[in-house]
Amino acid sequence: MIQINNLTFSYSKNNVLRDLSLSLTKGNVYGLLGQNGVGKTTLLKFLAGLQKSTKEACLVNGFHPYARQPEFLQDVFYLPEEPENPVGTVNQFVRNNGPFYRGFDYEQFCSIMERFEVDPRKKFRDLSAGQQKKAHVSYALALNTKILLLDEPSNGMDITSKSVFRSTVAGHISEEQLVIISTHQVRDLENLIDPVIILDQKQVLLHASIEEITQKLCFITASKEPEGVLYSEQTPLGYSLVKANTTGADTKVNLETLFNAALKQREWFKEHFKNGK
Amino acid sequence: MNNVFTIKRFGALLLKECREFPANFGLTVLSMNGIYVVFLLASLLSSSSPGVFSRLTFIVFMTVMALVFSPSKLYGTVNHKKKGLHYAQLPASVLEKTLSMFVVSFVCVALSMLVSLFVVDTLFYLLFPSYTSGFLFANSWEGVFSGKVFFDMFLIQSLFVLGNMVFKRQKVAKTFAVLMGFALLLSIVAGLVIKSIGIEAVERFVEILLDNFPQELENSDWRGMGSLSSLLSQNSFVRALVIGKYSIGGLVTASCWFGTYRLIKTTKY
Repeated sequence: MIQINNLTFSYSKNNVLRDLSLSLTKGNVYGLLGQNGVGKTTLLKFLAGLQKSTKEACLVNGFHPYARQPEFLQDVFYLPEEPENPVGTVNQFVRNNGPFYRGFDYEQFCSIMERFEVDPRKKFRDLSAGQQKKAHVSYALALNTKILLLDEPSNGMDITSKSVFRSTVAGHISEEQLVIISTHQVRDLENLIDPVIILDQKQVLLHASIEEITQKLCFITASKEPEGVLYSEQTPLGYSLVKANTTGADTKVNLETLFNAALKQREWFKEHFKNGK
Repeated sequence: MNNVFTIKRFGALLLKECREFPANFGLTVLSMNGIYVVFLLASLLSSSSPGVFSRLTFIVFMTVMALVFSPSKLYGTVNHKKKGLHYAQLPASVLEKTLSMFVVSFVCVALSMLVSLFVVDTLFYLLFPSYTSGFLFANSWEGVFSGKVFFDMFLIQSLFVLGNMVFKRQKVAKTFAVLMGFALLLSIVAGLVIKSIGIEAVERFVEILLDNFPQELENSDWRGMGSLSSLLSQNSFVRALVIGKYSIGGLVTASCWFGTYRLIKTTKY
């Protein structure tokens, strides 16, 4: 559904992405992780056609994104981290813009807004920052585009809303859709993201499903720091450890620890995970 | 699916932008009408009855001002890195977006301004009939609102539509500055040309031109712009100038809209 081949991007002498290759398939909620400035937002913009790429470097749903053809735009939606709040009420905005997308469902939008406890009859400017974010997320989900690109969607949401967001995404995404969520709030989106993509040093450091990660890695907590682990970090309860899964143990992936471990043990991860495919 | 143009999609886009028009430009139309009311009241207080010609000229001036500012008011965020994302992602073709931009920023703005200003003028006449010199509608205002005037309005606005797409901030001021720069450059070039061929040659040329002008010109009523224009157009040089003006104007307008189309298509966010 998404094919990226040797994508390179730089601005003001800063090389952001270099020869990045990725192949993403429908029916998945991808988690896009990475430190600040590694090019997560830039990558999403390429996929949405907001940045210039060649047809060979980036193909989304069979289209060259930068051509921004209506047929392509109907099935792709990118929600930025800080979306612009339109003038007028949420309802006016949604009713004016939603019908341009073939999958748009107004009833679904209202039901998600109800779950978020936000009144769509209110003007954007009369909502709090968190409520505005919820309105934008509800709109994005109700568009039912084949490809949904969300940049830090849970930023600014309260604890209850994060839970609603998780369950809504999990409940509304069909096998025909592909969602990419770029986030730093990995704890908020655990149990939702699968597979995981970690960008680092202009390239893909890790691209693996949760199943593949658990096959190769163990995530455990211990009171003491043992030797021979890939990564360890101190927590209030002891140590959170990541080690190679040599015994076939089935442990729950801790995304935050995984992310830190990947950055600490780059070579090990590059060697053990087939990235970019 | 046709990715270039469909009537259904264009209609939907135009309808959406027309629905958003009052929220985006309604206040500006009201403010312009307020300025016109102040102009009429000021004339009334100074006991000088505002004549038809001055009222029509003021209305044309206000409409041109609205046309100059409307692209940045209505589509100012289109090329903004963050604010322009909704517009860029809206599933409509570039041609449909450009055409809709033309209809909304020229037709809707000109229509809303002219209708509202004429309504204000009519109401003013009904309230103070003894101070005004009659209904504007009852007078021959075709001379002021001719095709030529609308052509000029469209040309001016096209420049500001392109400026709106080229510049990120202070769009009207920067476009105006660039136009002033061009005007300065043209006058320098004209000055250099006159200097190189000699002022005497230019004077001789003007004399020959004036000799060839129709005799009726001296006795004509200079306020009757329509009749003056038709008299002048009898002269072949003036006719060539007018044709040249409209050809260049048409070319500049077309270039501005093509540039706008290209910028909508290629803007990166």
